Amino acid sequence: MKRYFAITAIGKDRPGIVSGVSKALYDLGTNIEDSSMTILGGEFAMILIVSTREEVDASDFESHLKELTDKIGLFIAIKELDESDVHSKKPSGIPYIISVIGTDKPGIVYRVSNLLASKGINITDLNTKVIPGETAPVYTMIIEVDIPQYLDVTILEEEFSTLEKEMAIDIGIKEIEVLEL
Amino acid sequence: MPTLPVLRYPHQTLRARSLEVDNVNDEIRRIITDMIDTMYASPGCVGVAAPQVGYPLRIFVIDVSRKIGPKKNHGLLALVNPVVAYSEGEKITREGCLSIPDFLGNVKRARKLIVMGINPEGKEVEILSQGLEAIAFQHEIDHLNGVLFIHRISSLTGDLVRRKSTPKDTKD
Ligand SMILES: [Zn+2]
Repeated sequence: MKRYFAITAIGKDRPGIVSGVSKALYDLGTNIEDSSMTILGGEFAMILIVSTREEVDASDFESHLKELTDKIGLFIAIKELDESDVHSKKPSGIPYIISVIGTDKPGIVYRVSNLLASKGINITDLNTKVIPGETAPVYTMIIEVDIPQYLDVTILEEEFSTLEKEMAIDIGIKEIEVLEL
Repeated sequence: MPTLPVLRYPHQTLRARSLEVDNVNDEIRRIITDMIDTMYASPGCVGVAAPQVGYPLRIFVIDVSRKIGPKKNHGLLALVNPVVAYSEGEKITREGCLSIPDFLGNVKRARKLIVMGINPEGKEVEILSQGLEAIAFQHEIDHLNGVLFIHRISSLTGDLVRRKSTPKDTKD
């Protein structure tokens, strides 16, 4: 039986983080199943899903990564996963893309995501960016969501238009077109 | 209506350059018919290239009307030895592929093109295509050159996504 772990690490960006972490994992005999890495505000963050032999424990990761975390000041968290979580297929809603644009102000992410959560809509991807505007910075957010089949999208659109007026932002929603070839 | 099994990445036929067809004969027409049946048997599918079903030949079939209805496309088309004679513009579309069933990718391609080739009756044809049909042409021609959509994306985080739902027929 294999065991699965999620490892998250964050630290000031510099060369050698990926090679350091992957060497420690290799030495431990783990296999990297999936990974995602990004840099924000000079901080490098990674999430890795790894599989190991039965006898490897969360504490083994800590001891193998300790030298590295001490040396380069990396924050690491380790969480064991069920195999069924790792390989589970997501529920089959309809993929939509929601774009939000408006002058930068607190609460945009909260108000939009809160509305989605209240409808049971799952966010599958979210990216934000502040771009320079004519008078003030403009906030843009692109969200991908999975809308359950039973949900009426026109109701969502109505609630979005209320939110648009309240917050003076623009919200667009459209089904993601997929070409099956 | 025989449908053919679809090869999946990393089968090497999908990575090879397919061969020109010398003569559009009954054998080739039989393959085309089977490819069309295979396309229609796959939910939502609007295009199949011969190497995907095990024939390393420069043939594909498409039918974008299946997704967008009769407007702005030619409906069912089968083309042999296709060549892109002209292309312009840019369009990003999220593409899925029968040969890479677990992923979708955002791919940038030309918006408009002229493709030349031979139809199932053996006649030379020239087709002006745009929008989703033009995208389909380019995806299938890529297959004939051993290129898959995953080779055309620039970012794994933004442009490659795990499929979250199974394909459906939108227009049928
Ligand atoms: Zn394909």
